Amino acid sequence: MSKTLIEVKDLQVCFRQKSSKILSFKPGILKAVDQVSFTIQKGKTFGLVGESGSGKSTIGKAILRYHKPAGGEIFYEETEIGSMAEKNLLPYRKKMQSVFQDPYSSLDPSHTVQDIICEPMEIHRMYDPKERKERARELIRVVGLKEQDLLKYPHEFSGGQRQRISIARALSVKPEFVVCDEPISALDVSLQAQIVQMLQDLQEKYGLTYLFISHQLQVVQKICDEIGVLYLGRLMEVSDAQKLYSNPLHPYTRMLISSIPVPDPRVKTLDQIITDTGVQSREIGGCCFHNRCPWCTEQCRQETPALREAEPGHMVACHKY
Amino acid sequence: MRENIWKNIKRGFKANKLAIAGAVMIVALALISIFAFLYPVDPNAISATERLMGPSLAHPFGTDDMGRDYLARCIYGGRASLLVGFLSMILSTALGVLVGSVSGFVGGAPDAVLMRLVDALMSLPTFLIMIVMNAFLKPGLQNIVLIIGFLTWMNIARIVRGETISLNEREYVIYARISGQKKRATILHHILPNIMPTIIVAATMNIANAILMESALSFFGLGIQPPTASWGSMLSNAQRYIQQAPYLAVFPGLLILVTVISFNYLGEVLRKVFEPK
Amino acid sequence: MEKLLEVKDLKVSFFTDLGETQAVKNAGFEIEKGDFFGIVGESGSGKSVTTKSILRLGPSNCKIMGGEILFKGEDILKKDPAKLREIRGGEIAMIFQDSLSALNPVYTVGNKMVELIRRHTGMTKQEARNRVLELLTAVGITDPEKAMKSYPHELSGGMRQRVMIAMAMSSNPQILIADEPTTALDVTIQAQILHLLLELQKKNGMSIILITHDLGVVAQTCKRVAVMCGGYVVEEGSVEDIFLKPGHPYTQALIASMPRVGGTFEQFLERDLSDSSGTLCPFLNRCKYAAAACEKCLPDFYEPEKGHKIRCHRREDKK
Repeated sequence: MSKTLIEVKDLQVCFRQKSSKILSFKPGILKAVDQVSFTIQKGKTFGLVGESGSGKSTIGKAILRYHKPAGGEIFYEETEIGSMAEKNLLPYRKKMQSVFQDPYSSLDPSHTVQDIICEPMEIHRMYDPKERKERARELIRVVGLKEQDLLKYPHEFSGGQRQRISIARALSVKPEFVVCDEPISALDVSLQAQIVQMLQDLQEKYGLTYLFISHQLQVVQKICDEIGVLYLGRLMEVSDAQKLYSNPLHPYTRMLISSIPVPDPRVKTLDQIITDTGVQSREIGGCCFHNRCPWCTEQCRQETPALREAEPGHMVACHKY
Repeated sequence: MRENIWKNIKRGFKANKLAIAGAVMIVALALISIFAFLYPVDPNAISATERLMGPSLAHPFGTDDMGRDYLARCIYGGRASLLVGFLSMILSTALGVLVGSVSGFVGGAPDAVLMRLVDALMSLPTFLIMIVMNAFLKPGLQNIVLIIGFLTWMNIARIVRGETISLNEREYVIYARISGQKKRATILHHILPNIMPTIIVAATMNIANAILMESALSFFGLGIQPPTASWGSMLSNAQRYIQQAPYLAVFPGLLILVTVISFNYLGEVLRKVFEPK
Repeated sequence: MEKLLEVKDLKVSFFTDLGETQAVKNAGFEIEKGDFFGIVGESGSGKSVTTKSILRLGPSNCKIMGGEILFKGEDILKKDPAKLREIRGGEIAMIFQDSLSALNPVYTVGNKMVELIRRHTGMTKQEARNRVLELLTAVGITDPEKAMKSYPHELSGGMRQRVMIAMAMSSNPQILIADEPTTALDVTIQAQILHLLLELQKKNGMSIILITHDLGVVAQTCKRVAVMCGGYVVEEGSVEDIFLKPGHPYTQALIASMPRVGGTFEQFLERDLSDSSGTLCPFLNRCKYAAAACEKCLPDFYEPEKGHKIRCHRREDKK
């Protein structure tokens, strides 16, 4: 029986937005994440998939308490951390680590690789300096780089190698939970498979739990056990990975899957795309997807659908189900 | 990153011959100032008989109206100017970096308050303030450094704040925040090392500015007091004798010009060197 | 089929403080009228530089060191700047990946397009405005009036790309070069834009050159493909040849490493940053079939079937 490691309940994250009108005094509020709920089981990988504006990165950063949630709760193993005071958060920050998207800005160019890997250990006062260096040596080998690389600077490495250093850094404090925010999007296709494989191996070796955020559905499938599909800050569908691909229920998920260009010239998908010239808009009422949905009804225009269980283990937010 | 900087500096200098000249000039001035005591003549030695003599072998820069050797006075005057420039640069840079980085990193209300303070201070007429302050404080090296330092840090603060804000969005800074690093540590370890190039350029330009300000202060008799030599006061003195002994104005004037230009060139080259390609 | 554009033995280099870097060592391909031609490769393969060189749009330190680019039989490389400007944006148009920086932020879309049209034709302001509305509708913008009044940053990425395409189409070009036009877009918007390009091609009969690193995009849109690696074209052929009978080890590895829905993707050797100098096969360091012949000289092209060229020493066994 898997334990629940992370539970997110009705999470809301808002940002202040500059109003487009010059003389307006009221700043607009952008609801980046709106009533999102899901759970992540220990030792498993939960995927968050969505396009730009979906709020997937924001959710990751909210769980890590980089953003303060405007509403809702975040539980780490029964303890509520969403509204916890900063001074009490340190032990949780040790348990939660992150790997980010941009290999070129995720490492401080003025620090050596050794400094970079040792930094989290210093912040959390783990080991003494000598032991930290020893651990850095161990970690750099685990991620497939050499000991000599410890004294080099980030600019001497390629994008793929820098991501490995980021991963080594995240592992240094023996975390339980790692948020991987588009860790391979900025890499050449040829490297993506390698990094995903490494993340999976490390998960098995250290019993890690992942939140894997990506806009590429086809990549997420390999590593995720469960996947949530986000659109404009709301969860549209949640199910286990296999079912999502074999039987996508939500119209948006279907559109997403059919939009992915298949690298096989015999399978032409573009003609099947029903004329979706729609643009995502937050300003429409009812279901946020209704202006692009081929099955839109009057109910969809008026009422926002709740996330309901359509089949066992498969949740959808759509009036069709 | 370190090796890259040196290579880039060398390349930057090779590309700009004037910059090499500037750097050489500054080094020469610095050395001369440090080793001024090696020049055998006393800059304060008055001689009634040798007044207002043009440049000659015995006195390469001539003598002034009190018969003092002008070359010696120029050397010691240079030392005073460079010292003031350097020390006030340290003060203004330290203050500017402190306020700018904290303001930019913390943001929100503290940032707004600090920046309004900076705006207010920058709107004050610097020169008048200098004169007023001088009236209240005893003239002397220490006070000039304090005055110039406290009046020129705002510019650096603004520049540093701008750079800090752009660094805030870098993923390694975000990571440090999420990891629970204390704000002070993040500023010291992540922000400052990466804005060092900007700071160095701003500081270099500040020295040039400080030297000019000191010369102006001394020109009005508010800075370094006689008999201590200072290029500014020497210029002031030279006004009376501009017809008979123009060299009295030419030498210190040229020296101020050359020194300020050299620092400015150095700053320009460093800025080009550190520009991200 | 008449050959509209022929690129032969193109060599392009960059000159920096560190010396000469050969971005394109030898590139060649042919575009016919009505073709949808794809150029695929990883970053650094030279695909972007090749097409930018067609219109001489490279940065100032980029020089074309050799080769010919024949447009309708005439070598563009030998034309003077005035003639080139006529062709550029006229008969050959180009759209880029980053639509935000390609559009001037201080002009509304309408202003920019009207100015563009009036510059190339002699229309009055009103005629030009009508033409702009026509073009914006043709690229699928549902509210062209609103779009005309908008500034570039007020539009979404997909809308901006449509505007770019509308601007490119305004001169009825014979060739449209699209340099990674959908790389920065969401996948659902990408599908819309690719669908649009296919529609426009059917309507106008123009040729399209599409540059991308995404093999999926290529498979869904292109008729013929050139695969580039390390500054060389290593394989060229119809889209069926490339995907179903890939001959070059690089092409095969690229296809295998593509993640796909419902499938797996294989590993690929990490790119060695210190790539070969240019006299040998660009894939030598990573090729699992590397043989003695590969270390001696650059392979020539061989054609296993008509229209399918492969630059490799190894010969695939045909079943």
